Amino acid sequence: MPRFNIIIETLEIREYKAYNPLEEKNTYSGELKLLASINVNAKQKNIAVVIKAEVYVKGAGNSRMAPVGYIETVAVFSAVNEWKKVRLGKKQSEVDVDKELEDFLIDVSYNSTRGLLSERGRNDLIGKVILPIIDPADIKREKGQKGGKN
Amino acid sequence: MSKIFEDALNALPAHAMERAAMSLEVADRIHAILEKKGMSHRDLAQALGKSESEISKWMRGTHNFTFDTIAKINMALDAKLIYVPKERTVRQGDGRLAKSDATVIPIKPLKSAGGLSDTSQQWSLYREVGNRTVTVPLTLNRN
Repeated sequence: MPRFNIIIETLEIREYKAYNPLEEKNTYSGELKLLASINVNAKQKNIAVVIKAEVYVKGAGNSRMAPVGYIETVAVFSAVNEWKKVRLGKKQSEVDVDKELEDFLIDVSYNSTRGLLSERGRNDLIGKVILPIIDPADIKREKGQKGGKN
Repeated sequence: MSKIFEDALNALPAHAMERAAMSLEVADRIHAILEKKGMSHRDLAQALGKSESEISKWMRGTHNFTFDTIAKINMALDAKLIYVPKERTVRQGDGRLAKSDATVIPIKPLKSAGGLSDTSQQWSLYREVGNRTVTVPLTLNRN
């Protein structure tokens, strides 16, 4: 993955919820759901990346998945040095971030989310789940959330 | 502390002291949110349709806030006055991303650690390695 000259301005947990099951099991199976969204602030040449992650596990005696927790993080990057990779259209919604830059920012944000979850969720079941390393290109983008010249 | 004041305090039931402390904390919290948002008592009074003097009375920390009032203040300030931790609660539901077009990664299975050396750990997904607590990694089903 190419390196980009960007700066993390802020990184924070926007929302965190843990739903701990009352019964502890020896083995858990389930799934992780991931979603990312990108927002561009053209005035400040910032790009904000929101990562949403939710872990589901199967309950005892049934195959129904139940959520055990949700985390939503926001990382704001200064993209001043890479601004040529952001194309702005006439309309507010016409913002296009270079695919490689977008994947790079999502990669940084997702991996930061992994660390934040580990720390924030230390008393919860969701915090015990190590989010896997995945290709950022595989993380789906939230519909209607890409871009926006604020 | 004077003897009279001390006697008066001792005469109060314990829950009344607790309530007074909570009222003060709520007043402090309102004050902090107003300050953070650059709002005045007047702004809050207008948002709630109350008089400024009533808000000032609340801020003395003696008001017995009801949930109704707290809910209205929450709405007016767009913030939560009281946070109730949700740890160790069960919530049945579909979750936030259940119906969205999210990337789904199966977790199969997430095994607990064998040979726990510290049974005080809340979850058996922890194991101790030397002095460190290690989280058991999940195994991905890549099929």
